[in-house]
Amino acid sequence: MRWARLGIRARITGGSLLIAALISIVSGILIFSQVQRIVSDGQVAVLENVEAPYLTALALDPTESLDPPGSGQLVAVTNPAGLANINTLPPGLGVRLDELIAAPGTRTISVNSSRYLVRVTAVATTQGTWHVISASENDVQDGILNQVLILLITSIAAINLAFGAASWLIGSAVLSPVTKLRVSAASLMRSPGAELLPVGPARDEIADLAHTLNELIEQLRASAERERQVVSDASHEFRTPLAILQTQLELAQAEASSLGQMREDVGAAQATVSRLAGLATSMLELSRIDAQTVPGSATLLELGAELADAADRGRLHVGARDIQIDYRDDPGAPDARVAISPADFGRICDNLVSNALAAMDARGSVLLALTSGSDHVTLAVTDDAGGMEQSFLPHAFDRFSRADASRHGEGAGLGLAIVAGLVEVAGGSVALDNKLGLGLAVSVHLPTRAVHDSRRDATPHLG
Amino acid sequence: MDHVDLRILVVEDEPEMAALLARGLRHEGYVVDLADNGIDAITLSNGEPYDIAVLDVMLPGMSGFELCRRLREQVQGIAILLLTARDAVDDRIRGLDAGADDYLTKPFAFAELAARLRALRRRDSIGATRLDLDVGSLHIDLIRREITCAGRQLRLSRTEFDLLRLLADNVDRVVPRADILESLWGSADHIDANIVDQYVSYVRRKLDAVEAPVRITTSRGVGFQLVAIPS
Repeated sequence: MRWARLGIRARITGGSLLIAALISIVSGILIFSQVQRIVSDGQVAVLENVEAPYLTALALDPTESLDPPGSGQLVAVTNPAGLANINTLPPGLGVRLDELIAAPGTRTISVNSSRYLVRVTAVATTQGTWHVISASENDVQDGILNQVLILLITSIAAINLAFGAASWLIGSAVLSPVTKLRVSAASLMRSPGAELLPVGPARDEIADLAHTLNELIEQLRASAERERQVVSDASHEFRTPLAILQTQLELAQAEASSLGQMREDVGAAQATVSRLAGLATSMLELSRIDAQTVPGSATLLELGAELADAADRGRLHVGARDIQIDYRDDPGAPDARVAISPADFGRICDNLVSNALAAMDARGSVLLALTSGSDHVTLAVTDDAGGMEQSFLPHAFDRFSRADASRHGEGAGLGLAIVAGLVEVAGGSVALDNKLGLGLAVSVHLPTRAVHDSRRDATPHLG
Repeated sequence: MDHVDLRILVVEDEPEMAALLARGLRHEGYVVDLADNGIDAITLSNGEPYDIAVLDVMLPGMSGFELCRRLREQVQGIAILLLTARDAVDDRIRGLDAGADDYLTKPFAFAELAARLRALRRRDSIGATRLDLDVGSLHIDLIRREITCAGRQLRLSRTEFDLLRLLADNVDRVVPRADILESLWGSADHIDANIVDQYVSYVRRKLDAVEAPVRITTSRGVGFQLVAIPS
């Protein structure tokens, strides 16, 4: 199984166990080799004790006869001729005296399945070189070492087992707040209310996670609420003209007594349909703006042409009223670019002109002016329709917000919301200059980018 | 209306919409053929030299964009207008890239469709006949749609330009108000006649601003005429 597919708890336990096993095995090996060394040193010390009286005696006078060794002591003493004066070595070793004295020192020798530690010491005398050979069987030492080894292995196993269990328990304890979060989230999913995920008392990563998730939940709730509100407002906005249309058509069918009357009814129904069509277009426009992440692009020259087209479009809606729609543009650097498509710029102009026309009575004037500064361009749409109620200003850019009947009488209250949305995508800003009793001026500032600076100055800013 | 013998191919898969379009366009004086898919449209266009095609973008099988491209290759000089229910900028760009001359988003007022079709016809006839017009020192470049007066450029909107061009085309003659209305905005049914006076006033002011040596005079109850002011 791959490491990544293991659960967090298994990974914590496995990882800890691996490290613990490594440390304990290395420590075990160190301890065992230390014990082995101590045991072997002890054995050598015993052999030194066994040979010591013979070495002393030979050093004093090699002609003196030597005392026999104590019981159980394995020792042999050879004279310079190589013959053994004393030999209590086991038979397997006793016959190999020549081989042993050839290499003085301490070493282990196996004889007939028994292992012996053998020490050979040469003693130089006036008669020649004597050798004292002492030996001791390894069985006892091996028994001790075996016991130590078994003890070490069992303790290492026990320690690792305990460590693994502890890691598992700690992992469970660490993960329990996560489990709690998951259970709470599941219950929030089943019954969405105003509750949030529980945040533990400790100021740790889990609490941070819970805080962040709670912020996300609140944002999503707010956005869902806005969406719900928009859908509800939109349905209401659609129901009203649909109800009117239905009544208009029913009356036309049931009551129109003359062709003239019929024409009038159908004309009224047509007006209602265009109101519905306008509403559908505005809502599509808003959803397009909401989804738009990459702004368009247009030169100031193109914006100037679009400004003139917008004036033409506005003039179509003046009807029999005495309303002047003028436009003025000063392209400055005609090649400088603004992050908005000509169509979107035209939409901004159309909406602002349409608002001004809706607020006007029989006469008035609207001026569309495009002026360019060093690093921005300003579209100002100014009317003399008396301005809007001061109390409405904070809500002017909200979706489905309408001032009193004198302004925006027919619209759904989406015009300025669309303007604000388009301006935001283009990285600009919009401001209202309201003079109650006189008129309203809407200023849209859009950052520009000189063509030759486009690579250096990638992030436009407002002047 | 002088749409005699102008043939329009309408490609629309929704039968009710297609029938309404056909009815409205026949009322405007066009000869209308209907197709509800791209293949039929191409077959029809092989037999008939259509002047104009009105295409829905959302068609079964071949899309309106593709059909537009094929018709553009196949029919010399055809004017193409695309209709769509989607109001996305990239759709508009795709349509124009595919060779469409104009683009209209559903829902639209029929009067607007009629006006756009008239504009397409006008664009063709102007392009085919003349390159520029001169009235005294007023020079009208019909291709670049620019007007200069003694070297000074007159900045006019599209409709202002069309009005001045119409009057310049008929210099020293009175152009009846109804002719102006029909030429610039289509039939008088859909728009207030007041708009002609308003546009004459806009253009007059712009001519005055550059001290143009021409004047638009009013023939009360009839129409307007462009006259050169003798220097």
